[in-house]
Parts: sequence; structure tokens; C-alpha cells
Amino acid sequence: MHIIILSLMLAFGLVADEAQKLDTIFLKFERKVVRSGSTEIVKGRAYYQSPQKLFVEVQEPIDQIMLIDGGVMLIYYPVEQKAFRIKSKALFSMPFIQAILSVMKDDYGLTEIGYTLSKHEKKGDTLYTHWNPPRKLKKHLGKFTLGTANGVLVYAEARNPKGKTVVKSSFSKHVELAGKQFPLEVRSEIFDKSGRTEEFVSYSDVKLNIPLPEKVTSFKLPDSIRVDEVEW
Amino acid sequence: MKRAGLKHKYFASIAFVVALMVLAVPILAQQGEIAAGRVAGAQAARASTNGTMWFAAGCLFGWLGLLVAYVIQPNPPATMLLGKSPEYVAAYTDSYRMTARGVQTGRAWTGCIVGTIVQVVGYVLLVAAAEATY
Repeated sequence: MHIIILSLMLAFGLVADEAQKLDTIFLKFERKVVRSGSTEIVKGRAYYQSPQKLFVEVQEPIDQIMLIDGGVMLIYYPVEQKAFRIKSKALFSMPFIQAILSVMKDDYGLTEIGYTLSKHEKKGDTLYTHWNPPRKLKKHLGKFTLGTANGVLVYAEARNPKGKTVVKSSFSKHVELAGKQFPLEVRSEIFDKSGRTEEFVSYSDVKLNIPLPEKVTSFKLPDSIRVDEVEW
Repeated sequence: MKRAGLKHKYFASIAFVVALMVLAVPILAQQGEIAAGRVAGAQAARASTNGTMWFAAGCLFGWLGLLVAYVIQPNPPATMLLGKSPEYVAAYTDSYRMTARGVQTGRAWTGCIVGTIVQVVGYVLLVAAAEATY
């Protein structure tokens, strides 16, 4: 819950602010998740269109297309000829793109959503800054810690309102994108009631503000596809 | 002749078992996907539903808080559905919705009952105090 609220706030704050700079994003991704001894790998491409549209083309382990447009999420299986359309009153969070939008800000976009700097400390080359959530949202959001080395974001940690760490991420292999250092590798540890999950995400071929292919901009489900409608 | 017949029966039964296995493997795989989707959906819903908040909503706003708990449903995280089969997605979303609603309404009901008891006790104490005064 806390992570979802935080990601949505960060996403919308940043999307609104960066709308002029980031109209479209293209990237290739590989996501590896290790949990309870099992490992799964998902590979594909993601196309983002400002302000709130994301087209994800999964190539491994199965062919899948996920289209998020505000409060509608369409999941389409071209091989199985099946689709799900989930309609919600709330907006869906956008996988992968959030990372790029956040990193485009010096303080990860925390100031914009009301976070305030509480203290800072230096350990070796890394400067750690600790952030308090806005007062009104203290019941839903916890503290945040950012680590920067030579001005580049290398570490982020989010806690829940009770002070328990919910996610720790380290960033590496930075490249310059639109004047900002963007990490091509993100390693995260996610802690929740059901245990600990390790996630490794690597990005490649990241491009900003490019014209998106027609298959993305004018994507339409074939008429013959059976769609399971889910009203959320 | 009899030996040849036995041999034929032997190969026929092996072929039958192999055919059964070939047919059963995708069904078993599908069942595995459904089970995995259900478990993951329920786990994610429990992890992302704020029970304390819904308890407070039921406690403070009574039936209104309860009503909201029935109406509002948290969205399933899109990341968890990436690269998953249709069977998994169907099971995950169903399970996520049911579990999240179960946690929300359960906690809101508890809050509503506790809130009502507190109000009734408060009212009784007030009445008793008023009667003692007069």
C-alpha cells in the first residue's frame, strides 16, 4: 500500500513536471526475480507516451502485450488469442518507467511531493540524505534514504510508516540521458509480509523523445479476440 | 501367436499411458499456474492492504466506512502480471480482489463493531451519570 501510494505520487508529480522534456521513452528490459529459491526472468520492450500511457511487449517467457492507459490495463496474449481488460477507478502504476522518471530528478522527486530533508551523513564516497514524509501523509508514507556518489544516485531505501524497511535499491552502470545520470542496472530487495524478494532489472537501448512505432501508437485488439472484462 | 498378442497388448498399454501423460502435462501445468496465481494474488493483497486504516475507517465512520470498504478495491500491481500466463493472470486478479476485499471489509466490520460498542458504552455511562445527578 505504502509503496503503491509513493510510486503513484512520484509518477504523477514527475510526469506533470517532465511533460515538456519526456514525451516518449523507449527501452529494452530484463527483469529477474528471485523468491523462495525460485527464479523467473522476463524480457521485453517498453514504450511510454506522456502523460500516462505505457505499452509493454513481453518476449520471454511468453508473448504478452500489456497496455496501461490511466485506469485501464489491457493484457493481450497473441498466441493464446486471449485478452483481459481491467478497468479501475484508480490509475495503474507503470512498471519500469517510474524508475526513469524518478532518476530524472535530483532528489528523486521527493521534494515535489512534500518530503523534507531531515539529516545527511557521509560514509566513504557516498552521501546519504534522510527524508521525512509530508505531515498529512505520515500515516501512509514512511521515511526515505537516498545515497549519492559523485552526484550520481547509487542507493535508495524506503520505509513504511512504522519505520520498517520495505524496499532497498542500489543503482549502477549509469549513462547520461537528457543531462541526467540514468542507471542501467537496479538491484532491489523487497520486504513484505510474505517474505523477501530480490529483483534485478537491467535496461538497454534507452531512448528519449523518439517517435513511437505505429504498432504502439495505434494498437488495437483484433476483433476475433475474446476479452475478459474485469471491472475493478 | 499368444506371445505376439501379449506383446501387442503390452505396447498398446504403453502407448495409452504415454498418450495420457502427453494430454495430462498441459492440464497439470495449467493447474499449477492457477494455484500459483491464487497464492501470489492473495499474498500480494494481504501485503498491500492497510488493515489498520480500514479498522479506523469502520471505527470512526461506522456504516459509511464499511460501505467504502466494499466499494474501493486496490489495483493489482501491473509488474506482478508481466510475463505471466492467462491462467495465472485470471487466478491472480480474482484472488487479489477477493483477499483485499476480505481484509478491508473484515477490518472495517471489526472497527464498526468496536466503534458501536464504545458509543453504546459511552451513552450508557452518560445516562447513568445523568440519572445519578438528578
